[in-house]
Amino acid sequence: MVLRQPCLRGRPLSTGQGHWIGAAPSPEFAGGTAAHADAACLAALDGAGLAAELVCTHTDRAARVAALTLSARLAEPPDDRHLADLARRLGGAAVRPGAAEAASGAASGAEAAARAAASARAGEDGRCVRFPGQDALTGVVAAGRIAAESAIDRVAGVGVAVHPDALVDTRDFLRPVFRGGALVLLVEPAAGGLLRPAEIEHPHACCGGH
Amino acid sequence: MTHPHDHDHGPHDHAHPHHHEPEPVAGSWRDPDDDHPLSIARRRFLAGMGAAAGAAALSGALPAVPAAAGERPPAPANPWGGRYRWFAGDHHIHTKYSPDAQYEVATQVAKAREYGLDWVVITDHGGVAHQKFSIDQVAPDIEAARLAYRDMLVYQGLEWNIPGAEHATVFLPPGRDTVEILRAFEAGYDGGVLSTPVSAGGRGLIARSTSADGEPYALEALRYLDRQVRSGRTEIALMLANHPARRGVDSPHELRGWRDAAPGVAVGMEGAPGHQAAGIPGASGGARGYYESSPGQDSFPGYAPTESENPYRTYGGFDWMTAKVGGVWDSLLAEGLPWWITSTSDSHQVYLDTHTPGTQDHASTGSRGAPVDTGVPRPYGDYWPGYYSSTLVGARSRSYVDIMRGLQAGAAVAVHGGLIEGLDLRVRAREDGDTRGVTVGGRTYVRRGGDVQVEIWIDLARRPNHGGAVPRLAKVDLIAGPVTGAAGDRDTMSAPGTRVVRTFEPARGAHGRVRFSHTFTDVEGPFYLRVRGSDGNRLTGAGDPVMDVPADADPWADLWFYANPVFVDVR
Ligand SMILES: [Zn+2]
Ligand SMILES: [Zn+2]
Repeated sequence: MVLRQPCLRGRPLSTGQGHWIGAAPSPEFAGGTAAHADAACLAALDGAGLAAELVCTHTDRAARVAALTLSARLAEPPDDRHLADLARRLGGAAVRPGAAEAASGAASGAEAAARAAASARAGEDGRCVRFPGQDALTGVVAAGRIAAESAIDRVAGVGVAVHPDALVDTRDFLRPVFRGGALVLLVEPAAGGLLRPAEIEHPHACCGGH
Repeated sequence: MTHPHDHDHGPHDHAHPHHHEPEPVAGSWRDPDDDHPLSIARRRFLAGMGAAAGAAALSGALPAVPAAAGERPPAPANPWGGRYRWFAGDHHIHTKYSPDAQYEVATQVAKAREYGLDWVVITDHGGVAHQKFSIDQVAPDIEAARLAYRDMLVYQGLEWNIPGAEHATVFLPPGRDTVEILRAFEAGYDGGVLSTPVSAGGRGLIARSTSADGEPYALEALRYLDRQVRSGRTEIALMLANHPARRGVDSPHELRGWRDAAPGVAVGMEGAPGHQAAGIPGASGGARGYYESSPGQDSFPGYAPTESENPYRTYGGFDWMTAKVGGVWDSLLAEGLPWWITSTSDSHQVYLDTHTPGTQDHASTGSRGAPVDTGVPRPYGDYWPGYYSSTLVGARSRSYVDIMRGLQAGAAVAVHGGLIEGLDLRVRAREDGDTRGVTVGGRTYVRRGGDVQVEIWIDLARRPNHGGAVPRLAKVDLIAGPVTGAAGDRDTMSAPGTRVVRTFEPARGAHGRVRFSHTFTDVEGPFYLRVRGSDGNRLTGAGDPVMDVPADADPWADLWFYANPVFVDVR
């Protein structure tokens, strides 16, 4: 069921390296679909001038109402001005864990933001919305290529073994998740003998009339 | 909108009694006396098993109140031998009063009748506009449909946004206060209404319709319905959770919470969701049931997809909670408490129909207006009520209250594509105990160490279904597991002791009524059993349903039925 790709051609830094930040948007920051929230989060990071090479969303369940949080890995250490700008754009908090907990935003948000950064740095949790190698993975690609040419560590199938030659219909939307220290893309059987990611960009909207 | 951060009362803080110690069932799953199932089936078929009852008859009776776990019921529930009939129905149907649907009430009722249903529930989506504008429009439409189709039972209901969770059917029999109860219920407890800001006409009390701060409102809502019954404002009120695993937002503790808050009201869930045409190759491009989501903020973390399973998909058209042996449904049944399953159409827009929604603004009028016929078939994902999915309910008469009592008592079988026409189940103590026995949804008892006999009669399909073929029942699984009492962890989602005990195969060429039997010997502890069957077209190596493939799931080529369980107490 697991494809481990030994070839690490063009491989980025492992998750533990780089400079991690965490952020906690306000509850009003982004509604709608997950893909919509992803775009808003990326726009906030980019707009704040933070060059994030890997960005994850998280669900923080410390409070009664689960909340969206973010983590991002930067090539360069962020300065506090950029963090403050990010916090402002998110209407929440942004932190650089470790660095004397340099934080911008409310204390509870800063704690949630720090949790996000810590869990992604440890490779334990995080749904990756941007990662090195992502841009080249469009259309239909071989599973082996995904693991070889991007930050994704392995392609795992739901109930099926994934051969390196197996074709994955990326639908131009990949959201691998951190699990046990590895970045894993979960795929499942799709029409035409292809595989496709378990998370798709536009699942049928269920209408609650609200 | 308020966003309370209530740190000292998390979603897992539940006080619950733990009064029932697990009692393993040792050595009772084997039936050394029986021969190979195939030969048994053939022999009994040849012996003329059709003698028991008429094809449309169901033996069963319906208890007023289900017994709680650990208590000894005063009398067996759903006793064998009454003159009860199956009534086919659908508790989940939308009309133009839903923002994402389009048909007239009369059209849905006429189609349901054409496709063989006896009863339907009109369940448009709850929300601010529905509560304010739709209720007063749908009520007279339903009255008119009752007059126009006098042999149809048309219930007024609601697709409730359960605060903190998924959707659910809520419905009542017709009565003087029915509309007012539904109106007050929706205003007070619909997740859409509760999460909509006051400035937009809602109540602004919870963060999102599905966020966990809504959970107490869901329990209060069910208690409200229970009070309407107890006070005599309505004879009965039922709630059934719809498409429970679709977005992973119905956590196990929520299911248990609803059941325990109002056991006579919250009685079950869709074993199979609607939208069964959504995975047809070349159609909508979607997944069967529109089960194509993945974990979100309000999803239960325990449902995260893994390399062994994806709870967000259907399996053989059924919801993962029901389709997985030893899964969520079985974990509820292993507590010894009722939780029934059904099958519905969730009909919004019908596969290859040529209509599109009317042009009216739903948000300001509560209706899409009359649908528009474009003359062009559309690759929609749903079927007409009765066309593919049906819930057979055993009731003593074709009356609004009796059919609801049948559903409440679990005398129900969920069937896809007309795979079977009827099912009769008799479970009884062979000698010492309840030798009369009970039927689907029932509760019987045996003396400790005694034997329990199970007899299954199935009326095979005689006519082609709407897929154009006469379905052939290839196998019937008898599933059983020990009743282990109240779950210590309210988020328990597995029943490790539950398994397929026996698989029967109807003889090739069998027709009419077939009979299978099995005996549980030396029964030492309480257990439950249930029955499912398949056309055998898509099975895993273990004989289980296969995870449906998006855009590649022909529903007519993968048919299943699931019957509700029988509980066996040991006295
Ligand atoms: Zn729904
Ligand atoms: Zn619906």
